[in-house]
Amino acid sequence: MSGTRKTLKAHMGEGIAPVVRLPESDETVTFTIDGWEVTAPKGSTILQAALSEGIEIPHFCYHPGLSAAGNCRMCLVQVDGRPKLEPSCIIPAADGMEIVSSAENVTEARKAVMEFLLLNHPLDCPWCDKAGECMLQDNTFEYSSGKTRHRMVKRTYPLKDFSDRLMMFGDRCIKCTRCIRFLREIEGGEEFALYNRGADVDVGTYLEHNLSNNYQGCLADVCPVGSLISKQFLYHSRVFFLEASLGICTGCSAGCNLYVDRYENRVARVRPRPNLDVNDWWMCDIGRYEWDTLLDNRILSPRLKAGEAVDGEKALGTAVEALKTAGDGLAGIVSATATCEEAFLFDSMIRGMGGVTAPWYGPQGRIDPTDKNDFLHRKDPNPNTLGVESILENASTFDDILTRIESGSVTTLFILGADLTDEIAGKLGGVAQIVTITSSESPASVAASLVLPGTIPFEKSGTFVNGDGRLQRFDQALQLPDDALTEIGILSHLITECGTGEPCEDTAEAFAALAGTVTAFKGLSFSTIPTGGTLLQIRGDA
Amino acid sequence: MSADVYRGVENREPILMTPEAVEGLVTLEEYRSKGAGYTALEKALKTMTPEEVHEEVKTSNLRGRGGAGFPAGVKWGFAPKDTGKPTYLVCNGDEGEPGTFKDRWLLRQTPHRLVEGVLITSYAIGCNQAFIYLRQEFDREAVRIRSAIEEARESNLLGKDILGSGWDCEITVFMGAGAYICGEETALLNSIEGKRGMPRVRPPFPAIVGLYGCPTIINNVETLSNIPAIINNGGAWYASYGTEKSTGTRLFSVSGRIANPGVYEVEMGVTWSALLDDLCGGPSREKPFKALYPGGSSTPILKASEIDDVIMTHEAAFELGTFLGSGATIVLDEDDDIVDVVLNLATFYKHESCGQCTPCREGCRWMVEILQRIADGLGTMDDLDLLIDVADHICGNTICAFGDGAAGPVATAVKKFRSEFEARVAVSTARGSE
Repeated sequence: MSGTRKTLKAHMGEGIAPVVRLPESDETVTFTIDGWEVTAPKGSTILQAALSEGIEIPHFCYHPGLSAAGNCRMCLVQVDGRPKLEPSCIIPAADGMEIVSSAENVTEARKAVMEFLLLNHPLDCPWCDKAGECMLQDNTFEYSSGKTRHRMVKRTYPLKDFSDRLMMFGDRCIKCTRCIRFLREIEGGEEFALYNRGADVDVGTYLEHNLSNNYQGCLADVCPVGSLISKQFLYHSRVFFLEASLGICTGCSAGCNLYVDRYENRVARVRPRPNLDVNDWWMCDIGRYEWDTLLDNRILSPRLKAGEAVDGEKALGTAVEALKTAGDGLAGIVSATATCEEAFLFDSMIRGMGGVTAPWYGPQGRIDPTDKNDFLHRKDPNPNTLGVESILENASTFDDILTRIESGSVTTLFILGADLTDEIAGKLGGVAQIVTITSSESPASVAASLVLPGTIPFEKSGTFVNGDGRLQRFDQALQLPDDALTEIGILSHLITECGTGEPCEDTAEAFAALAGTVTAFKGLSFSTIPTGGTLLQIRGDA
Repeated sequence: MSADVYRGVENREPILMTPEAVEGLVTLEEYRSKGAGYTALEKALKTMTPEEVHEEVKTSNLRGRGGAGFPAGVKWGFAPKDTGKPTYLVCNGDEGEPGTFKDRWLLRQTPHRLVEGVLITSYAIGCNQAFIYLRQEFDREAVRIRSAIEEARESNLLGKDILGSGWDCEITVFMGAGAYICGEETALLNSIEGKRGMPRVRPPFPAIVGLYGCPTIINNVETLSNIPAIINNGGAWYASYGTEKSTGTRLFSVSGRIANPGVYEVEMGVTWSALLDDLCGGPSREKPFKALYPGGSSTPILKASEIDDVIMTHEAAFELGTFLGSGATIVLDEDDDIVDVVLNLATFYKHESCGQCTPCREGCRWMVEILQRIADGLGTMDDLDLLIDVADHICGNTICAFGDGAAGPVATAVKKFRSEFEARVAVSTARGSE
């Protein structure tokens, strides 16, 4: 076979090739696409097999996480010389099949589909949010004739307002029904449907502004064009100016994989990163739209009680002094929102100075009993409950520590990330020194005698263990000011000053220390944790 | 022409349109006394195995009368046995093809014969629950079918332990809601399931995964109405009608510029002239025929000159690039304007397209736009080639056969009657030069 195999990587770049879930089968089938041999598990469709090999067959309505609808007709290929072209998203691959995806009759059919789809498309890419990540745009550049022969008035639809999160530019819609299938097959709702018939067919809800499910962002994600648009991102920035980094959602213990898209040094949006072991292609709206609450009431500089500012060096010195003078009265509280590395360093520090640590399950210190699991979202609102629990050695419970506080035997309390409640904060009056390391104001920072500013997850790297016991790493998305320290920087400084351990330069070193100590993490290193995470030998809460 | 010729057996009795049927075999009493009513069912249940019934139908080479002409016996064989799921039979009575009204005749005149055909077929394919799907407009026909079902139930011809055979079968009448597309067999299944009437993507085929995910056989009203006669007289008897490849008789609904429009039963293999001139009395306006849609509005148009001495078989129609379809022959004469006819039908298809797949949804609207401007005297010569191109891009690229039915006749009409289209375009050119 001569010539260059046309691959998704060549066309779209590394990492953008769709993640495909192939059927599970011990048997395989081997067939050819344009002469290239492809092997796939039995039961795979031609398109699934092609995409998983990185061979591009253009398509719109096919989404790897949804049933195949076969309605866009873009993925038509010639199968074994049959006279009619067949949709590759529907036809199961069979041994010895000969698929032709590049012959003239196939490319002509694709040009025809592109021409049909663009007949009534407004071609408003200059102000469309999807431009730059639009399948219609990509396929137009790649597969259309570049001309139209249509000279009549275009069909138009009014803007639709579904909710505070989602709206629809109906003119751009290509009726692929991905959104309808997402709701029916994944989310479980029936809000979206096709209305009317023929060329007047329309997608939407029966009533305006009545969409209330927790997965509206996914509707904008699955839309292959700029029809369903996330209001939070509307006219926010051009996607081709965004830079993505790998993140993990901190909204609950599911640990959905994310792309954190930043523009300059700000987060523009977060979107799901496919991981077939965790969140498939999806994430919930709590994770997608409520991350900006992390930015509320930020604490950006150290301070003493009474709002008295203090410079960084003096603040760290005060913290060291508190540790050294605490003696028997030392206790630590670490939030289950802390990373594994932070929890490990914090626990080593407290134990090294003779204290004891307990976990805190934020935001209310407990799991809201009215909350319930849906197909992704978990009741446990902490991203790292299992990680923190498996790291804390000889851990106490928060209630024990509270009892000791009330009996007056705690003189120095260190708090990492925990917010506490007003009621609990009111009981801390007898504690002489309260050092809180946190990123935003809370009862725990108000009660503190020293507050050290912490970071939000976008500002650091680290690892979380999700509710299934899967260890996952995330990268730093935003740059910190030069003189700012992350929690690891703060804890490393305190440990070194107290002489209870070695300094850690960065997350990787902290993780190495953790892996050298905690059994569940043995043999792992930060840089070699797979992008999809790795299961630890600890109990899961699933 | 192939060797498949009319064998010229004279004086054959009609199979469906017997004089008694024309008079009406509406009640069970009439059907029993004048139409050998339910003797075929009794014969099948008491003397034949389901396999033997199936075998007779295969021998008859009865081909589907709904449009595609697929051999019914072969189709029955596609339903897998022992799946642990029920097998369903669905009778397609959503007769909506413009020009077709032969199923309506059968439903009105011989409702019991359809019920008997449905029961025998259910017995052959192992179905205990059959459906008769009727288009919404067939309210009077539904009354007759429903009363036939009730009469049959009262006489233990339907329901539990039919005729003491130990075999149960129910028939449910389901009314459509007025969409042409629901005559497409998989859209029809969705309609019964209460879903939007949109064709399903195949594979899987409905014989394997059909109604409610179960094996399902879908046959036309006329197809099933032929079954009692085949069982009573044998498959070989039926196959002796017609030609070797197109056996039996067919009902044709003839309309348009014809002296005696109506439903006619003709033996397969007779000439078009035998139907249009001898039976229907030729043109209605003493103008020569210009063209005809042989099998309904979704079959490509024929020039009148193309059917001289041509026999009526599936094969002969295919050689002319068209189909016998549902047997709806629409005749046009010299005064009919092809542009207007094509625009009229294209508008129908634009309205009835389900809108699911791209080529049909967008292409049907586009074809109407182009035809409309040609008809309005605003067209260009380029529009004619564009029209053919758009139609060609729809054909063969859609989920169901609707796209071919909508676009094929448009392309054919422009090719065969190009001068008429050009004349309409010339009007606009002349206007432009004024």
